[in-house]
Amino acid sequence: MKTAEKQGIFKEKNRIFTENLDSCKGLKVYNEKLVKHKGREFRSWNPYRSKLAAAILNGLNIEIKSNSKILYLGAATGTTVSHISDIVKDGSVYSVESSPVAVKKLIELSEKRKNIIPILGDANHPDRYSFLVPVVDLIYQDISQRNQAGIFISNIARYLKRSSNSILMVKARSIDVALKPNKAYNLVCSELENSGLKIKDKIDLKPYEKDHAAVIISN
Amino acid sequence: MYLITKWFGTFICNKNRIKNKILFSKDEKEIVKKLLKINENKILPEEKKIVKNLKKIIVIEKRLQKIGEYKPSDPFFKKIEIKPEDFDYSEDLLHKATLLLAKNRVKEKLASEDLQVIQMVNALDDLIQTSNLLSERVNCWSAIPTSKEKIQPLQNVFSTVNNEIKSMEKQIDSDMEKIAPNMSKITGPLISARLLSIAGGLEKLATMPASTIQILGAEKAFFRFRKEGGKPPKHGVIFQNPYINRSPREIRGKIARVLATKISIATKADAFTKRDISKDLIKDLDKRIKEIKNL
Ligand SMILES: C[S@@+](CC[C@H](N)C(=O)[O-])C[C@H]1O[C@@H](n2cnc3c(N)ncnc32)[C@H](O)[C@@H]1O
Repeated sequence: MKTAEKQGIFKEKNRIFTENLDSCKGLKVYNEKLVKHKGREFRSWNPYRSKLAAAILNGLNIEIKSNSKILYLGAATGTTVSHISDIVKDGSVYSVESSPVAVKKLIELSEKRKNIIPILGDANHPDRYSFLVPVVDLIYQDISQRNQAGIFISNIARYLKRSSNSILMVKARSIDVALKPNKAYNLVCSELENSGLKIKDKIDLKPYEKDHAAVIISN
Repeated sequence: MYLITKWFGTFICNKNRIKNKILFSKDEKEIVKKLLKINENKILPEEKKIVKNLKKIIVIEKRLQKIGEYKPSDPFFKKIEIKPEDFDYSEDLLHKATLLLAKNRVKEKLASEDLQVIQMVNALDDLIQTSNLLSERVNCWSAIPTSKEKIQPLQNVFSTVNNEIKSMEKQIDSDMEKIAPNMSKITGPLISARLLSIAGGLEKLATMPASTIQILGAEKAFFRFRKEGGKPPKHGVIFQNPYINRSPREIRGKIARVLATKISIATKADAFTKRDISKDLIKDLDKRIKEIKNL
């Protein structure tokens, strides 16, 4: 495998990989492929399963250092969280998820990955996890709810370090089913701008995900 | 003065300096006890103690608004960093404690989810009973010459109740598929919900012997048998399973026994190991039932 590395993300042709943590050698999280290369093990990152992978393949340019602290809202069972956990091998992913059934899976994942801090909680109430979560380098949110922009804004106000970036995955249909996707993204963007955030980029997730976009902000 | 509580202690800060602190124990179980209290919106004794005799306390959590002014967007909270490593608390301890905390809370939440199902099953039965009563009344009334307007309101209620029955069943189906996926695949979500409801919860059901599960819902018949003799009941709620009620009468008891055994295994997986074992169970169940039918 020929790999070009950028901050923990490895590219080969049009596929991307993260390097599996030592504590997880040989273990898959979903049905991703494990690839061995010169004694190192890489996990393929499926853009059809993870919107972050889709955004990266579509040109997302963002720095995630290996010691970054990340707040992840809407962690579900940890598909994307697991790849971030590969990238921030000396950092932490504080992973908030409101469904107890999903958190059960997330707990299993965290048993093997020490840098994942699983939190059963509601991102609408950043108050309720302030005793666990410190100020972080990046917030990533993937919650398909109508008030997703509001949730994002209040978590940024509370937890995002100054002059840092954050990523919001927007599902057009959860903003307004009747609206054209682009209009829905613009609506979200103007709400973010009105609260003082700067929009750095907007990336459509086609063809991997229909009617979804990644919005990148800085504060 | 600012009051800030972290997973490892509670702190009083002022102008970027920590003025006072009470650190928690370094035992993860002790930490979890505190964190559970925080999750229940309670004020910790350490927090009460540290603010004693202090005035003008500002807090960052709503939970603490009884002992300070709640200012979630005060920029101070972002400026001051209280790092666990500065007090000799490791990331590893945080990891262990949060795992334990999450496990505890997931268990609690799911337990309350099965309590919800019990209520829904009871409500469903109430609705069905109501529907039967109304149906009877509507029929009687329609049998005599009656003007439409007079009977219409009752008919409206009747159809509302019937719609509610359908939506309640749907809700029970989808909840049960989450709470007890293995059992739901083996005997259907509704029968599963009834079993869970009679047992009083998923864990209780999972610790019952198969022979008890087999007659759940037939308790009255069972006590009658114990008191008055006669034939013991062969099956309770699980009789509604088509495997049983579509089989010839003579083998129903045997099938009920096999089914109850599989349900017992399924609920153990649902309550404890959480593994999906339904495919193997169904395969085995089909095989056993074929054997019984061919005897
Ligand atoms: C689209 S999924 C996330 C998928 C995940 N990011 C991944 O790529 O692996 C959205 C998740 O957000 C969760 N969610 C919805 N509302 C939430 C809230 N208010 N707080 C936390 N999580 C929430 C849902 O339970 C669901 O698991």
